Amino acid sequence: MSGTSKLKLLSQIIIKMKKINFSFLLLAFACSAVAQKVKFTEYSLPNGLHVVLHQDNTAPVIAVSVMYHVGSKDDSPGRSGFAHFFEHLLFEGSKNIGRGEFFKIVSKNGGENNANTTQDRTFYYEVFPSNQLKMGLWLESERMMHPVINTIGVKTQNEVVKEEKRMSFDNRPYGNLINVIFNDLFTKHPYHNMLIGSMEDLDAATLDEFLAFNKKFYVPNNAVLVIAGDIQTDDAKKWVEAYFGDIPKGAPVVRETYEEAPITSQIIDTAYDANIQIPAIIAAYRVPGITSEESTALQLVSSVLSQGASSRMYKKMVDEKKNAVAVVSFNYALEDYGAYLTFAVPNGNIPLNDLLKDMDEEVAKVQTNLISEDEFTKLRNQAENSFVTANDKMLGVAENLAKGYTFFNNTNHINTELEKIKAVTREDIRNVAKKYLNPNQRVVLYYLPKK
Amino acid sequence: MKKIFSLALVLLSFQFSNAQTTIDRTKQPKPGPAPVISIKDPVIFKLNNGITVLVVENHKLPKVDATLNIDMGPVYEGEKAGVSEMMGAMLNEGTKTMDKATFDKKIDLMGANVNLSWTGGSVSALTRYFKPSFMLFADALKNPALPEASFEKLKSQILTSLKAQEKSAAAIAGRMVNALNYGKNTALGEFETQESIQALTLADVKEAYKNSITPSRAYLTFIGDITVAEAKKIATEALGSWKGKSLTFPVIPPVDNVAKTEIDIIDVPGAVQAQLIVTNLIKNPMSNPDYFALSLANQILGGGAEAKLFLNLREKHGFTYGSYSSIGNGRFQSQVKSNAEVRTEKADSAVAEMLVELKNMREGNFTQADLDLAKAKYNGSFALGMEDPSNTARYATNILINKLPKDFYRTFLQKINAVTLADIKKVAQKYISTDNARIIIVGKAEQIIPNLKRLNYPIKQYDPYGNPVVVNAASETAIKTDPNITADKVIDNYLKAIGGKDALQKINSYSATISMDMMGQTLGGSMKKMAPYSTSMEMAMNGMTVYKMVFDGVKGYQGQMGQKNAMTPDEIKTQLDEKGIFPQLHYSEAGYKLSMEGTAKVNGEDAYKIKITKPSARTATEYYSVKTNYLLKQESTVSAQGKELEQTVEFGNYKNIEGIVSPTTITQIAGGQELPMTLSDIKYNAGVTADDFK
Repeated sequence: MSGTSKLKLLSQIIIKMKKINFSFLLLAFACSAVAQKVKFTEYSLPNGLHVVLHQDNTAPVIAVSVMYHVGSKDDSPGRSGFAHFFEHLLFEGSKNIGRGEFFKIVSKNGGENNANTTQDRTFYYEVFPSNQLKMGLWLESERMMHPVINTIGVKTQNEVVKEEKRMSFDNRPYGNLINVIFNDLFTKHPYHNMLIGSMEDLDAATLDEFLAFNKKFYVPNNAVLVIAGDIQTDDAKKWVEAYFGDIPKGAPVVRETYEEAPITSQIIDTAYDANIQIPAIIAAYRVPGITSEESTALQLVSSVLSQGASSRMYKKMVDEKKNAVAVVSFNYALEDYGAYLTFAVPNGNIPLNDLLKDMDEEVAKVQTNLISEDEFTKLRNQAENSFVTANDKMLGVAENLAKGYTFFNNTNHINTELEKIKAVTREDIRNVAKKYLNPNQRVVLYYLPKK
Repeated sequence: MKKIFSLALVLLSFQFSNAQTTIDRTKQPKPGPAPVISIKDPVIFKLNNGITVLVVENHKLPKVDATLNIDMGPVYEGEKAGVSEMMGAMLNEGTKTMDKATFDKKIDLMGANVNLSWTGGSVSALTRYFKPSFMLFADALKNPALPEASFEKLKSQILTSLKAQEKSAAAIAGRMVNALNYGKNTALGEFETQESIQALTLADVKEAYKNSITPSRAYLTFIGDITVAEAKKIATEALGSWKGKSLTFPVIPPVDNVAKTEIDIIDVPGAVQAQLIVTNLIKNPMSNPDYFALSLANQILGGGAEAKLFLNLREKHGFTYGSYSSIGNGRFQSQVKSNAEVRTEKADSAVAEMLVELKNMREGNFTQADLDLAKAKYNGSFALGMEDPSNTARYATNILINKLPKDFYRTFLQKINAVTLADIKKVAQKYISTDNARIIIVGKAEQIIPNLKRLNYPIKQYDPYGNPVVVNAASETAIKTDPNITADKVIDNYLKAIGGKDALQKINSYSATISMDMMGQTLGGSMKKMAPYSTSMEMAMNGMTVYKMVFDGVKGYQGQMGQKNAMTPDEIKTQLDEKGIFPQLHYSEAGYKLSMEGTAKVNGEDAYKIKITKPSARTATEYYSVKTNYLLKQESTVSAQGKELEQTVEFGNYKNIEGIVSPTTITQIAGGQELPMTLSDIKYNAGVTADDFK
């Protein structure tokens, strides 16, 4: 029995690339007349904490989550990886939770928990059997109210984060690809920093800086609490108030804005990876952020090009010309900007420039001709299927509600994606490709094996 | 509008706060009454051809998932390892009446997902598209085209992806654990290789199809927005008349564990971390009476972030991002595995700590609190599993294929909750081995092995394909160095070896053509030098200059992609450290200081290590071959655009050019990047003028 699959390579890359923002992608495809409507109640506490409650009593499960509007783009210069490092520290304990007890308490009460950090936000969650609502609220309110941040935690998590970096990036095939792309694509915006950080920056972070970071960003007025699942909304409101009401409001979070000058001539870069034998070629374009209508249209461009075996790039390069084992294009949409990527991994000894040429031809066709009616229908059906699946578990619903509030300032975003996608015309798809996906606006990266 | 809405809600929440619920946050809140978990039975029936059909109705979402699983069991493929996988992939390449492009287009138009594999496959579609999607799936399953062109395409793709994983420590570890435990020439231990895939023919694929794609021992599951009647109708219409070979479940003889615990190491020189797995084989089918206690033992040992391995290796020592264990429960021999990806220099310590935790399990060093925690986790995950209707089907299938009692899952938690501390200790001793285990390590062997020796286990080395590596005793012997050697002597020997001081002193200029081959890109350029300090380098790609550096002895600049930066005073100082065409000629002059730093290996070659302090006070380390006296490697810090960069340069392929032995390959390593350059057309005292450095 042999375990290796040709798809593994492809999926590895996709997971790597999407890992951090996977559900953005799904969310952005969300569209359906028949798909479920997600009902919710929302309000703010006097301390500024926004609360969203979604009641669904079909399974005895609840997801309790807090999304803080802080991510790696808020890392100070010379402190790359700080926001993610801080996420680790918030599992160390609180005034009423001993060091190392956090995970234990969750498990002991039959739950699961974790957190993740992207460029734009940090998301903490617990999934519990529904009799543990108060436990979830207690844990998250302890974390927000008075976490214990001390030297021993910093020291331990420093090593852990470095191992995470080694495991997820430095020791993984194609692991640093996205870091190189973002570094090239952004010069002023902190998106150019590695989310995981550099080893030196991780070592340089001090306890005082972590305490200041907590005070600045981890305040109720910079967070949204979402509870989804087997709750009674009125009962939940009562306990939310009890656990979170006393947390003091913080100073308003003021963010710097960064304006990137347009890329006007093609940037060529080369990077080496000791974990790979097969190179990859990537073309990356800087595009508008997730809230823009153009971002939605760009998502659709990526579906036309590479979603499904009948998509244009896949069919041409993997099935017909057989010069690629994998070809993917997608819109990595972030809050302030996005990165539209097309990339391919050659089959055998095909030169990378041949692949680039083939990908470019397909982009050019989308820029010149309208996509067919059949393709247009396909996009909508694929989007609907993705939406249904993305929201089939309470945790997924909680995260998508939180994202709507955090980035779109509209919790109901989850339910409006349909109209948004319907509003995109075939002309919009052509125009957005024409506007943003030109050779002089991009980075071309040759990602090569290191001997 | 939205504002008013929010305001109303804020007011509402004030009312709640007036009602004031008091809490004591110094104490963990008490849970409410446990939710009732009711495990429903799916509807099960058989088609005439023997397919067992399971239906789980769930109308919450407008979609249906279907899975077909042909329970063939493991088959030894030998020289044709990978044939089943390939056959499975071929099922996605079109049907007898529909080419792949048409098939794919139909599926994509519906937004559906249809995948076929050598054990069956799956369909996921919106309710309104489910039937047509399933009919396409069935057609591909029963009437695959199996075209030659697709076969060649898939073959080349599989070969490419095998190559892609050649250096992946994780992929190597994945296959080597099975290969070492079960033997690489067995159904459970074998893996595909370049050779086995090359050996495949289309006839092999057709044979594999005939032998394994069949309704015999097949389980078909429908989950979601579908009624039993609809499922029955669709299953019958699509697969009811399908016929195929009758399967017998294989019998596989058990394999012995190692007689004495050993370390098996697989060298992956480029690995950034070491993959660490401690493992032994057991028999633990789900019908095993010890199954429940063993499940809890695993939970205590390495079931998650609150378990012993994680708390020790990550939280206490920071060796790893995570460490976990697993205990298999298959119908054949299964594996007990504890694993972690740890940093290379801590591999030995991590092994030691992992063994401590395994021993603790065997000696009963855990508490009632540990057991209660593990039980709580099982109880919780059972409740959480209710969210996913596919669990209902999974439970029912497990009962069928493992021949378990009908109430296996209904009484599952009852049996879990009855396990005692004594039970855990008993099963730990019986199943979790420390005396007959394999400690498998995949990583940088050179760095790991010396430290491992202190653990006192026999160490065996394997290549990434499971072949024993005989460590060459000769290569282990000490370097034959000259005990009276000095740094000055090493430099003298070098100058002598490459042409002699007299000849070298006559050289005033140097030029060479550079080429860099980078997978589909060739960069070309030139390098020039003129005594005492002039130097230049230029690289171009597709006729466009991508890099240029010029220094005329006083000033200079660096240019990259059209940007031009004048050299800083610091960069100029660095340039002035390199005098003449052969800087070593001047190492005995004032301003330079040499010191002998011992010996080291450079790409397997023994070398003297010399530290040079230069006029700018910067230092560099140079490695000279013990055997040939040539310069092999240079390490220095350079100042580039205001940043200090560690730079390593390796020299190789020395060739005699006009009486001077010169390197023809130069590899620069800086910032994690490696730039290998080939030099040709090397000329001394010819064609270089002062104009070249403007």
